[in-house]
Amino acid sequence: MVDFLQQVINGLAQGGIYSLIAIGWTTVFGIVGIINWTHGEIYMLGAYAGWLITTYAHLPIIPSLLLSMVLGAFIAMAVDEIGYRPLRKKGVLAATGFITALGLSQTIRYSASAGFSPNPKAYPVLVNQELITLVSIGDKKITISSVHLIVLFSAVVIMSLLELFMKKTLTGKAMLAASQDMQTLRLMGVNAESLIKITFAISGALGAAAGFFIGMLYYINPMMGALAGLKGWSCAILGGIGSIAGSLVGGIILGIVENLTAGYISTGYKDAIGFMVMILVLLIRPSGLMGYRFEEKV
Amino acid sequence: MAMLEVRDLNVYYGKIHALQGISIDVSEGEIVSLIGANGAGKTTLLTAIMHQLPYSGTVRFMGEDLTKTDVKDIVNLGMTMVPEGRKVFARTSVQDNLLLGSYVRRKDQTSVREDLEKVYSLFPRLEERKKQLAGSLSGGEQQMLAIGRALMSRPRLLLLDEPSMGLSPILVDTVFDTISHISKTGTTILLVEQNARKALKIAGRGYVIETGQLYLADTSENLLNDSRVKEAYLGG
Ligand SMILES: Nc1ncnc2c1ncn2[C@@H]1O[C@H](COP(=O)(O)OP(=O)(O)OP(=O)(O)O)[C@@H](O)[C@H]1O
Ligand SMILES: [Mg+2]
Repeated sequence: MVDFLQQVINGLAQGGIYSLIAIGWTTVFGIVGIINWTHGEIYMLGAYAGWLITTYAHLPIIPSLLLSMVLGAFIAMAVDEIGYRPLRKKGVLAATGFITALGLSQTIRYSASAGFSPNPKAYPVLVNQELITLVSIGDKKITISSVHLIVLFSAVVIMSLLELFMKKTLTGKAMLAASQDMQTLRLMGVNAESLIKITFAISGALGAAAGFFIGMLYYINPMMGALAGLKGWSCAILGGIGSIAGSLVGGIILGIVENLTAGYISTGYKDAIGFMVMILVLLIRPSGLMGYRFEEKV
Repeated sequence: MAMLEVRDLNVYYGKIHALQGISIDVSEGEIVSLIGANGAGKTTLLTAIMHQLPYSGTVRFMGEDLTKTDVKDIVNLGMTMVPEGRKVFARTSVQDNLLLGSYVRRKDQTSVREDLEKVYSLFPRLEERKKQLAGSLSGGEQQMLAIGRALMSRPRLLLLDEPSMGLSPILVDTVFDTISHISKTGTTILLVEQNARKALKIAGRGYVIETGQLYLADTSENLLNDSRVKEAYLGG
């Protein structure tokens, strides 16, 4: 039992990271109506931005994280401006956006590989590694690593801020309305294009934050966006596409399932079993865990 | 010069010539009703006026040419539409729906709050349900919300697309009373309706369109007594 709980705790930080990626997917899908396949690449570039900033500018963790998020926001807005907006203006985004996204995604991935070299990179130490005891049961302890704790805590803070933004600001409310009916929202005098840019900025900032956190935990490499992007999208579907709360839950579940698999079966099976669990859940609940709502309200 | 001038408006859906050179006017202070059978092109006309559809011809509002103006700027100029079928944001609360209606005036929160109170006094039901999701409202309440949301932009000209659609007779009367009331508070109204008798009764003038063309244009009184209108739209 103690062992099991320990594995669950170990999966939380990774789960929070998946949640951040998933929310980025789900907001763009909900509002712009496209599956933004470059999202994994933005996550990867966010990880490299963090690596550059922490390695060469020697900034502390919070400014580095914020700066990476700002860069991620700009990259995502640039992707929209270059890749999607021209198609949107012609009214062919739904049909052709997928191809553009795949092309852009490959371009970014291999440019990063050329620029940063395909070799993995490691962040400098930003926080002291230590094990914090959460509870002791007899001679057994449940612990969490300080790095995991900081990653998890930061992810929760970022998601709470997003939740506040969506609930309390008129722009956030407009985003929720846009995910329901953009055509009618335009009748309120809302500038759809700026709303879409804000959506990409948020998505990019969250993706970059996820990349930064991964950099704090593991080595980074230019190909890391492929699988993580796919997993993030899957978590978004698992949680119920369009639902921010669903993405959060979906990410945490995947993080925990992967860790339990690694702990009890084998690390080699963790991706396969993670996807299998998601497929099972979707067979039972095709609309995802939190249904089809963009977010839950009273 | 009329407040709204539509001249020789043509709209195509692919090969379908949905509006074939329609011209109408609405002057400040009027209620003008537009009637026509299903598929005549009423919704198309209002949607084109708001520039949510491409068209040829001209639309002028308060002297400004709108042929190159984006819908968001049209709302800013003071023309707002209550779309066909209400189109409230179902997964958004009633109050947030209203606040979204005030989007173009978001910089002026004091007057937004005042207008919120006005809408709530016009529709007390909405105030009782302000925290509820709009999707949980009844059809009549959703129509009130759609009208209230449009009023939150403080329109000079309000376009209404079949506000009585699908409502019980009592609610239909309430909706028409509300429209008269809004008109008396200084908002000009262009009303699209299937309920021709009621629509013409509250209006000063009316237009009848048939299959994308203007068929009749006259005062409401004359239209109500016109044998062609009686036969086709007033049930003989
Ligand atoms: N998006 C569209 N694509 C193709 N044809 C359309 C489209 N919208 C409307 N039409 C056609 O244009 C014509 C006018 O439609 P419109 O919706 O304007 O009629 P309406 O007068 O509002 O009818 P109703 O009273 O049923 O609302 C109809 O023949 C309709 O089939
Ligand atoms: Mg119609």
